[in-house]
Amino acid sequence: MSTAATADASSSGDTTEGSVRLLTLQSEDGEVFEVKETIATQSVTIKGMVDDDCATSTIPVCNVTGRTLAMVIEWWNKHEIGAVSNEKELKEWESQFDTIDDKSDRDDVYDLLMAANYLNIPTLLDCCTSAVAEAIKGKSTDEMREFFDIKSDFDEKEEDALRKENQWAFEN
Amino acid sequence: MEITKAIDRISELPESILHHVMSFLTYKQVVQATVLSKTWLKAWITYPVFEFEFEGMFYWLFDRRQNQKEFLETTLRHREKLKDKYMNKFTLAMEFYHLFDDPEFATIVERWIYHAVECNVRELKLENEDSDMSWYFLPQIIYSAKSIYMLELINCALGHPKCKVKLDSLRKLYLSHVYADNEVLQYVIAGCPMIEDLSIYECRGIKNLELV
Repeated sequence: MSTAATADASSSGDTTEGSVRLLTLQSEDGEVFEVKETIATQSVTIKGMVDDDCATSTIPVCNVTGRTLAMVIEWWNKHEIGAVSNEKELKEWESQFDTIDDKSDRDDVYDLLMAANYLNIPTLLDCCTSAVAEAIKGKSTDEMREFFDIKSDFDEKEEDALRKENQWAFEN
Repeated sequence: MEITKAIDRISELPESILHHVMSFLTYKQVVQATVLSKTWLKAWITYPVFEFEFEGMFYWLFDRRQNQKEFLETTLRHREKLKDKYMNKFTLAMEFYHLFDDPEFATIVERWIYHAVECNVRELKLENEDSDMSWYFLPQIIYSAKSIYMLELINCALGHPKCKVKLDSLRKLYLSHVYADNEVLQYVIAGCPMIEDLSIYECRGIKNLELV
């Protein structure tokens, strides 16, 4: 994935391109991106900053790497009104995010989830949480633990008791 | 050989995200996930949705019934301990006749409904899966549940409200195979100032309803 939106070092936010205002976002690892305000305000967090006039200098996006932020910006670009001609095309494009085939996909989805949560981007949050849910479906407890690298912190007795209490959910 | 330490990142996600994930799963899948780890167990207890539908065959068998009763009780005990009490959705679909010959079971169900109302539940659904036995009368507390936005009742009966009906937020009322006296229903509807959507399907006891 390219980070084509990287701005030159002199940029200090609040620039304009034509009549469109540009915002400067900086990832945790120092990558700088210039994004149209109309696009970035898909993030409820950023919209709040813009509305409160707090988006005049570089906006630090904590806990989000440049690689993830580039994916988020790509998401915004596709979800800008008029960016794709129809809903079907958008759904097709989104499908790259809504399935988790392996652990590398899984880690990308975690990164996106943290970013979507921090920036409050409802569409992205929905897509990624649904992807995690799809990956859970049809897996046994052991398969889930393996796939998500979950280490049980129950001892055997506790787990047995819990299974017994919730037995109806484990029956077919 | 490269050794990478696997990190359980899913359990490090904020609880609100785990709840969001759960919203895409069936309630049964949500309950299955509780055995994964303590994080998942805790996220389930705080999950503001409870959708318990007795399903499958032979659920009239004694041990199955006992099992479900225990489940309802344990879950309620966990939830009652929570400080932050709120609930979006409460669904209970079962054969309510179990309650008629088992007062202990009846108390658990009543406590659950009371808990849901106390948590300002927004959507409440009660479905009696058996219609041949006696009617299950709606607990009186529901008549004054100001937070309920949607109320769905299947195969239940509406008794005379003992106090003023105050369903202040109710927008949607769905009654299917419900027994309600004409006067009672009129009285209930009069206590729903915000009602937008009313559906009455194959109900008994209603002759002609006058809505103002």
